[in-house]
Amino acid sequence: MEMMLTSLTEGVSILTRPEVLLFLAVGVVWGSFCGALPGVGSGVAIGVMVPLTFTMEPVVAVPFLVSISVANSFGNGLPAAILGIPGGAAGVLTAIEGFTLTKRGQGGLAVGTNWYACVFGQMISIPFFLLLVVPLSGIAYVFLSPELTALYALGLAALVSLTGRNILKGIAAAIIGLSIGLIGPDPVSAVSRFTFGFWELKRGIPTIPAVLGLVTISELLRSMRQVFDWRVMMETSQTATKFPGFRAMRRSTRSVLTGSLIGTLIGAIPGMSGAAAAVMSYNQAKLTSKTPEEFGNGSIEGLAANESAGNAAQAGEMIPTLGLGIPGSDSMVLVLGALMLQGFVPGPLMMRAAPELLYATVSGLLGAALMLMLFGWQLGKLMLLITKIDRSVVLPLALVTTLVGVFAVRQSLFDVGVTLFFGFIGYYMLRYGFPVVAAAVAAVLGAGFESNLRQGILLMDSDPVKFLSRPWTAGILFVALLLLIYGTIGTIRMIRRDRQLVEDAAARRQSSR
Amino acid sequence: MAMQAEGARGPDAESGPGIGAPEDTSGLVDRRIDVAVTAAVLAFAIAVILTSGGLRQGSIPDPIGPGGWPRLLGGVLAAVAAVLIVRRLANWRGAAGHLVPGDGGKDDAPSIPSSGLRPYFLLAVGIGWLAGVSSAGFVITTFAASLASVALMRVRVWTKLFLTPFVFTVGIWALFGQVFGVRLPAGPIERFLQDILPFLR
Repeated sequence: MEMMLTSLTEGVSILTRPEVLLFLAVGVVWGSFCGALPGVGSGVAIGVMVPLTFTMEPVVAVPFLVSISVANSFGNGLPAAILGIPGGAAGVLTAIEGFTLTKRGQGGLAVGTNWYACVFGQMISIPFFLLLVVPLSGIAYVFLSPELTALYALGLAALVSLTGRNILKGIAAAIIGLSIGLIGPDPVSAVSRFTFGFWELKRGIPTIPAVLGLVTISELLRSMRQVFDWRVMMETSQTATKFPGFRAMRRSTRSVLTGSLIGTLIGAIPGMSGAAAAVMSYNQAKLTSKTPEEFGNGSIEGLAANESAGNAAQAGEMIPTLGLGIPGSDSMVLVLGALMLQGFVPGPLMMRAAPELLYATVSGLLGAALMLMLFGWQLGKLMLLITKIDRSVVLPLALVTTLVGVFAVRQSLFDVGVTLFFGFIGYYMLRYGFPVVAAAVAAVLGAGFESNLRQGILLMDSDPVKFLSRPWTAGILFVALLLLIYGTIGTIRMIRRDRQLVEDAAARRQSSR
Repeated sequence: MAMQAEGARGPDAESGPGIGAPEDTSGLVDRRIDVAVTAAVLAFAIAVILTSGGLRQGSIPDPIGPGGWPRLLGGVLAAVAAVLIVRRLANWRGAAGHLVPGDGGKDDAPSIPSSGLRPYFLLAVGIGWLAGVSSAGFVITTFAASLASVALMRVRVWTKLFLTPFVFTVGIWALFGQVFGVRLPAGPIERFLQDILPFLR
């Protein structure tokens, strides 16, 4: 408790420095802008700015880089909610819920909820981060491959809420996504699998281009089947771009609270992504919601759960990065690299030797949340103006931007080819009821699940009992099983209810003729 | 044609909503294509099972092996796809026509003509960008791709058709090439600019 209070007060005192505030503002605008561009993740956003930090003091550099990461997560949700085009894997569910709201003329509510979830999710995650940074750093030593397998299984179990109207097609879509991770080197023996002699496939299919193809390109192709003015489909009411007010967003508060906790916890595990945290949070919100039928049809609870977890995972990723010297994601690799250039030695003793790093991290998280609170809505509103531009120009240029963004990640034309290929696959999946969201999330989780499962079994001397009887593994797998059963029953009930509603509506039309 | 059955009338057939508009087929799919897509999934699953049988165990043997997880995934996928096909075929005679309710796939907006061919033309534009960017350079290929894709959306106002892709290309070249520092493929235009403005990368 004393450490928490000290960190908070020191973090706030860092925020009183004018140069810190200036760089926080720059970081938030830059991070949001990069997050809104499909394919341009926090890795690129931070990477471009790292050289600027060479001449900065650590207590200015760390908040600056942290603010870019936080704002990037916020920016990811903007094109997802407004255009149905996620900026990254974590924005996939925001695209479903937020874009449905935007089409109904409630773009302000979609962007407002995204903003609310990001800002308050981030703020709520800070005390969780401070409470958990020391204990979770210790748990990360205990979390070996069996525990990571269980966590991935938990994430895969959460896919049951994404299966859509046909549960079998949902399972098929998830397996298609899992299959993407089969191509390339075997995770244990490095034997080449399914490469068919193509050297480009020997390193495997890059996940982000495949996900962007499945979700973004497919949606763009499907949207461009028709030519019309946005305003034909989106009600142009005064509320479309107006701030919805806190009363309208109050319903999502519970989702924001639980999403923040889930995001901080899951983000703290090295190798677990913000996307995985977002899916688990979404699933949890759906299972406990009083209106689960709204999920998939513009649910602000679903939107808030997804975004708050994705944002809170930023704070979670700091835990192994600062506590153990193990970066939790590609952006954390760059943050750690920047700290090394400043003379810090990464490892478990880094925070003890330089507690100002912890204070600077807190100031970055808090400062970024405050900056987003001050002008995040204005940034989002600027993006909403895109719906006033001709759709026939915005969508094709979004397609080209996605391809360029994918190329920019590794400067690889092969990645662009992967994106186009999965865009083609995803287009047919979208048209014929195979949920691309399930495939995309499975693609993110699949490779990690198999590698940890097989390495975990080897670690336990090929003894499955030893594997399954580890306390954390058994506990998490049990929760995953409960989630799977409960989620499947809930999904089947909802499908039957929807089918009944459709049949009743058809019968009423028939009798009125 | 199958594309026609989806409610598509080709890129030239869009005369606006309400003018000879076809029957609203939103929410309906052609069951023949639905079966074909599911059959492709089944074929993929069988291919995974057959190919994984030939995978050799590496120097570190584990109980699952390189082929275990692919065989499991392939088996479940094949079973699921087979059930979907059998279900569809079992109800074949019962339906009045080939258009049947979809399984929640994303529908076209109702009462607005849609083109089943345009997505393929747009994919071709993407493939053209991919094929041409290394030789013709980023600027030319991106401008051509932007222009072609905007034109496919039936934009005919010259400012939108030419000026917007031009401004977009310059902007995205500046953003990715100069600000992000991405090494974009250079073509004749980039090399010419680098000759006259040496500070450009």
